[in-house]
Amino acid sequence: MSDLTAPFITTDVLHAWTLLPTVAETQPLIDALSGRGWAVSRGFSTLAEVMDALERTDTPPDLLITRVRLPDGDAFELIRRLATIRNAPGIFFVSRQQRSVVKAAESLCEAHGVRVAGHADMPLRLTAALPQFDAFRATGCQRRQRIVICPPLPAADLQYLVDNGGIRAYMQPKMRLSTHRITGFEALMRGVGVEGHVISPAQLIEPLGDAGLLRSATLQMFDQIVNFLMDCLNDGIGVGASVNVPLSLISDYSFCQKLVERVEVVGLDPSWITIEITEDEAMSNPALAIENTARIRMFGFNLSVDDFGTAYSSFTQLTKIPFSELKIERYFIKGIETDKFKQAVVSSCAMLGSRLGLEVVAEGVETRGELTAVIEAGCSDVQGFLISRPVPVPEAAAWLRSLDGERFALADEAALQSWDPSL
Amino acid sequence: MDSSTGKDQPLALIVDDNAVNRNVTGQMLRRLGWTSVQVESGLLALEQLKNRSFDLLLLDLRMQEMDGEETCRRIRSDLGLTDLTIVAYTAHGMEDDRERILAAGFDRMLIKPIFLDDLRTLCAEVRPTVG
Repeated sequence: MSDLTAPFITTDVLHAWTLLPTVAETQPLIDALSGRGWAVSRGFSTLAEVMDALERTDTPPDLLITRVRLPDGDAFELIRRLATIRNAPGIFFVSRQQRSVVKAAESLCEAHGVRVAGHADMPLRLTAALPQFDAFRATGCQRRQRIVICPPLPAADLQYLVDNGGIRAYMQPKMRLSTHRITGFEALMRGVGVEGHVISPAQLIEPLGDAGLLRSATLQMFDQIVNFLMDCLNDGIGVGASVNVPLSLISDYSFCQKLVERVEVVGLDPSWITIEITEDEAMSNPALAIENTARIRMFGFNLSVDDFGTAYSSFTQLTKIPFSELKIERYFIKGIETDKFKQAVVSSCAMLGSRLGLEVVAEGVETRGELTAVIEAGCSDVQGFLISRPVPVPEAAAWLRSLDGERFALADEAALQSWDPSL
Repeated sequence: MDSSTGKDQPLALIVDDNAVNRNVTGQMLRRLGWTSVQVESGLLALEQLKNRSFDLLLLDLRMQEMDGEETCRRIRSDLGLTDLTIVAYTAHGMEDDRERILAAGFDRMLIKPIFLDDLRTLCAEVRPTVG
């Protein structure tokens, strides 16, 4: 197996660089930060200088505090260029720009995978700015430290995983909002190497597809959720489970036959299982999607449209595919409590789904604020770290049995920070 | 198949040709303070109903031998059990067939899979004082 352990170095003091042409206005912020566990170690005045320094350094900062307009460019160019650098810092915006411009910059960061610490309008108000730095310290940087930079897995390693039980279903629970009861789990694919290290989906799913191993890996996932469900149901616990299946596999009749065989052999009613396909896949080839999703339903499985909201399907297209559940893409959930645009999108999706008789699941719910907002928007179910991170099957089974009547009680918020988004 | 224990507990008849479903529904009902009898076919259900009275009948629509709609019609007409609460449970997507299904004599429909919350709501309506 390849070496997969190369974590970032953890340090207590976080480093920030600044890209602030007029220092006097922002000096109070820099002074205040040094008393809050930050070291503002370098200051730059142009985009060219900071990019040059970032490309040369072995110890990049955790954060870059920058204006939106720069003497030799702007934050948009900066973000695009940061996205090409390994270990790129997060960004904090200090701006005189209208809110929509800063918001666009934040969206661009999201699109490029650059972390956003927050923003502050000029003139600076420390009471508004400093909590954002604290929050970034508490969550953003922890996440970064845990990221393991891994080389792509060679095909031989992937084959080894598939042949030796290294493909594992990690189960993330889904909670019904009206009763706080756990009604199901989404099985997420992970690889577990010989030393017990976990291989993230980013390293796994696309390479498995490229190596022609996704079919075999998906069937292994399916077997694991069938066993999980049988254990639960035999114990009198009525929960379902879902698994992501690419449309290309659903389109293969013999693959669907295999799914049917696997539930029939153990006597499991297929309605306990939901097959998830992404909205993007469903809409990119509607004819193929309709034929094959209808077949999935004919066999008795339920069907979910995943990542809903990202592919701009028309309402007409959505009604042509026999979905039983709609899962709203996590992008629309993140920070929804303060974002009117996201609130509008999610409540529209929820209304559409409920009118079509679908369950509407908000994915990626991480905070109580987000939870409250998705309840207000009318979602029926939630999934996300607020309830639980994805955990191995035995852990999920034990967790479920530890609940009082499968009913989830919201945990201490502090405990929610100890999760690893790379897994 | 009879899992009854107490005299005062309400009694449900579960009719499903899937053993796993019969079992989990029975166990969930027990958690709600109900007892249940479980049978695997419409014919066996008719036999049970001739011999004892039930508070609730849960009937899977899709069964091999005699389907749920036929079973329900015969319970209502042949056995004359017009007051018994009969609930159809069926796959998602059958909502369009709701009218036809209810016309067979069902009081209501539940969509599979059936969760504890569905049963809790149902049982509370059938026997409000239990559970």
